Amino acid sequence: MTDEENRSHSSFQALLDAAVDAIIVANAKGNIETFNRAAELMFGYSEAEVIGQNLKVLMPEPYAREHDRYMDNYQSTGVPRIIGLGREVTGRHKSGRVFPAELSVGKATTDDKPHFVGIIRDISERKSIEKALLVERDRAQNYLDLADVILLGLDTSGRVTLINRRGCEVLGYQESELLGKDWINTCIPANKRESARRQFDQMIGGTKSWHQMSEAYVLNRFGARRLIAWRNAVLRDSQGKISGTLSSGDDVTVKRQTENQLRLREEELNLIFENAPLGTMTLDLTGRLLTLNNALCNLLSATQDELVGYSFIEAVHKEDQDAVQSLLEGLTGEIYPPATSMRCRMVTRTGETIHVELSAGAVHDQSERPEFLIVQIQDFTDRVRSEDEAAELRERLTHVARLSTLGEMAAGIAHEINQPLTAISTYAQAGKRFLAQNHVDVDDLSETLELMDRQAQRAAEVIRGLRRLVRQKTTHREHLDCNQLIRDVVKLAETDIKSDNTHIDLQLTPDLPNVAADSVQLQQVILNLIRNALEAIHDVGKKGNILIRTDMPSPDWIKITVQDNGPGVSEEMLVNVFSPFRTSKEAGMGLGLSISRSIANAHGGELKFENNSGGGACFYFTLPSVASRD
Amino acid sequence: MKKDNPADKPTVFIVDDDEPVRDSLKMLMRSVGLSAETFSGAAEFLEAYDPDRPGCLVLDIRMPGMSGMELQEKLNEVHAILPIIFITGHGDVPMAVKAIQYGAADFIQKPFRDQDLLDRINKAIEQDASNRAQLLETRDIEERLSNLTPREKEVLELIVDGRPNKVIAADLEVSQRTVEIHRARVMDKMRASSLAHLVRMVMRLRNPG
Repeated sequence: MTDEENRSHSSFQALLDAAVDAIIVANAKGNIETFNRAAELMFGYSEAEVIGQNLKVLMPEPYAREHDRYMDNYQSTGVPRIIGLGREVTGRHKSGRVFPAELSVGKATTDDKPHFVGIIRDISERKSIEKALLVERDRAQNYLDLADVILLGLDTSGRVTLINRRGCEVLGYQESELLGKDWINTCIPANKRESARRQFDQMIGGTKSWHQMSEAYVLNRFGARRLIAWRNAVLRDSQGKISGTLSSGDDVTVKRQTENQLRLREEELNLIFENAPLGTMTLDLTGRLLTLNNALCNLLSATQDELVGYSFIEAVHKEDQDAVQSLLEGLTGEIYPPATSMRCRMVTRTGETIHVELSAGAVHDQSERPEFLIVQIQDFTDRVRSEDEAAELRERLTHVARLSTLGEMAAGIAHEINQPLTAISTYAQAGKRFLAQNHVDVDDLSETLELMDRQAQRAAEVIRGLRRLVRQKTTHREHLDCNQLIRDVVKLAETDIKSDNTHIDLQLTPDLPNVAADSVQLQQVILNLIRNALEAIHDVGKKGNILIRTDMPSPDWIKITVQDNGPGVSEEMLVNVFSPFRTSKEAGMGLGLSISRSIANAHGGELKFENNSGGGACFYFTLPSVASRD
Repeated sequence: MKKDNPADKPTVFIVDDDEPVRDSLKMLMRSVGLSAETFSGAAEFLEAYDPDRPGCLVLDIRMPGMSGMELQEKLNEVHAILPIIFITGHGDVPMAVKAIQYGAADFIQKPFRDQDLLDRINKAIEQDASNRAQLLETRDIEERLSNLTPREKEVLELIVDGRPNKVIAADLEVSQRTVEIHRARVMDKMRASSLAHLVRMVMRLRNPG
């Protein structure tokens, strides 16, 4: 070896020893010629142990066997198979431990003999990092796949670099089918591609906000459109250069449809609310009007503006406000109250009182707390009015019926008595004519007188029958409050009084004991006395005053007095006030007081009369109180 | 058509359910020389009713069964002309007013003075006689009219309307002479004493009563 050779050799040796990677030189047969320091550390063999050994000792099966084949192949063809860089192989440590390694092989020729130089790097560490990275990536992929949104990554040219499982589901593709594809051309509807491209370019160009939301349709594999709500972000590499975009997308197709339907429903409900024939409103929990419909505006003769924001209770009739208030307060309580309704009066903007049926219910939030109130209002003023009218009509009919009982009775009696009277009078007048004509047959005359007498008897019988009738007709007795009875009768009589310039005063002693009587008969007596008084007053034509009084002259008796300021009873009539067919009135039959007295007597009482000292008549009747009978 | 006999004496028909009343009324009629017939009810009267018998009807307004008002209605249905005097009781005045509206001649409330009733009856009988005479005349005119030929009736209408013969001739497109012949026949058949008489007769038919 020359000096130069020595020098070269020693520097080569130094280089070998300094190298970080294992460097092994083998001859064409694969026998190891050089084994550097790093190789010793990597494989666990000393240089002395492996020099001359075949490279196979450094490989585990099956690579060791394969290595033989390489070498054989090389021997026969002269073409080495493994020349090159970065081939991954598996090394075998002296201890039998196997490790991944990266092998680069070069070929050198000295003395016409080929030598192979292998540079080996232990990549165990890199491998384990790679493995960890892989796990990490898988985990990330899992996350991506678990996410319920579409995750889409695009590179700067718009090709798909990432798509998660949700994205594949929505789009109907396999992941592999999408990766590398141009996103816009594949998944954006044709008519939207241009604008999508423009937006994408702006993002990539950094001219558009890198974080933004948008809703857009995508086209799935089957040509169906899905509406996706996207959030987009640009990705930057370590130098801060934009390297692509990452988007998350939510498939809102169904949600938007539902929302649309909800909106339609809401509009529909709104329309219904607005145009419902029933007055409808919503109130907040303090009772202020939030919304109200046209029907309610009409009902209250007010505009929306005049009502919204104001307290509903103000539109309620003063006397009903407490009841309505407590109904509404009941609805806002903690417990779930059922919808309730009540009738009340309301006052319109124009001051008119209307009768309504109010139905209210609370709307609760998810935690079941009342949020606001819905109130419906139905106007039944017309119904109330017609009910009032019906009641009035009934009362008037009752009035007429009561009056006509007495009136009809009088008419009936009149007829019964008129018949014999007519006959008597006619017989008498015919007889007088016959007498005047001077051709009188005594027998005829006698017969006529006989007929007349029979008719007179008949009239008397009618009167007797009438007395009996009144006396017997006391079977329907009940316990009555005289004061109430009088109030009822006065109400009836007021219909007659209205036209007259007459006033009725009541002086009713409170807490009177009841009487046992037939209410209709008793009413007739009182009514009769009132009407007598009215007629007496009417005859004089001055302003009339009628006073009706109740007293208790003794604990066992009730006394009812009807006093007027008419002319009183004349001297001549005084004796016959209660006699039938005695009357001072032009239209009267003279039976009223007679019947009234009979009724009073039939009830165990009396009907009496006196002229007032200050003028006018005073009729009073007494009845035994119930207490005295028990 | 049965011919009226003007010699028929008027009769007072008394309808009352109360026997003493109708009996005494009959006696009263007799006392003043009026002939009377009594009926105990409306149905009984209707059965015997003869439209050609003159007189008047004295009718109790209140009766069991068919009331006086109902009888009046029935008589109106057959266009009876017999005048009705209603006898009413106390409180029946509104009913009587209604009866008058339906064509009753009068009403009287019982008990009544005999003279009042008799006055009413006499007045009703007179009215009835006048009605019947008028009716008779009308029927007579109708009969004469029915003897005219259609052409004569045409001429009559035009005469009554006051057209001179010349105009009638032009209207009917006949000679004036022909019109004169028709005219003479009309006067003859209608037994008209003058043009005024003829016009009156035709007017009577146009506006009866």
